Amino acid sequence: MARRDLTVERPQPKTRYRVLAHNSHVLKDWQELVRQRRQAAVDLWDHIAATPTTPVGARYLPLKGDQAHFHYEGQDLRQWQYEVDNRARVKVAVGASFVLITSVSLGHPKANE
Amino acid sequence: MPVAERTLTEFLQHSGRVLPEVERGEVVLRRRDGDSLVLISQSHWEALAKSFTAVAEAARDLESRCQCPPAPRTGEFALSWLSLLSEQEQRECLRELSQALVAALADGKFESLVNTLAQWRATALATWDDAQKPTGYWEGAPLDVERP
Repeated sequence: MARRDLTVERPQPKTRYRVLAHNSHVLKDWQELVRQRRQAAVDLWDHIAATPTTPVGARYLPLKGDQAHFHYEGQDLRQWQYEVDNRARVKVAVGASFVLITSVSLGHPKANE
Repeated sequence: MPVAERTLTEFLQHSGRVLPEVERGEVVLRRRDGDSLVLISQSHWEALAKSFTAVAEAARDLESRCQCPPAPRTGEFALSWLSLLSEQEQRECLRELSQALVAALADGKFESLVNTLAQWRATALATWDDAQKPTGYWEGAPLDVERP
């Protein structure tokens, strides 16, 4: 009798939102973020895939002014920003069933406290 | 006058010695496990709240009445990231912060002020980030992003 495969797959969290990158440039930056800050990227992904409209202290917040919305496929989606750390930020736009990563930024302005 | 400092234990065990200091100004109570507390009399708090409200309202009145061109900036912004916003958004930010400050002083709840400040700071950084992006960054078709 053949042995049954006993491999236990890593459980995946339940997600309600499909996560998309706006384009290949954003995807490339996202992959660099994953390379540099893997666990933070996992935490970020888990949060936006499950609860993208729930703030996380000062780390994940809705934006204001011209940054408040992102125009995508005829809709103005509410835009949020996840601050990974002082030198990395990810902006996302939240749709009805998806979250669009609109930009990934690695760096900081001189004026940043 | 320097702010008086005591330990929380001293206050709890000998409040009679600490309370006269509160009459002269705030007293910082240091704790071994946790943030220090600041003890302040109600009349002192009300005077502070009234002062902040007056300053915020005066700044708002001045802005709405002044017909003059913007004064040249003579030093760094108190909020360093403010300069990353457009002039219009700087005014909008300060207006919202003033309103949030007045509301916070009225009801003693500062969460809204803290959130407003954090959101505008995040917005300022996002604005700076966008300005660093190369031409063509915003073009292209969406792609799925799997969990890392």
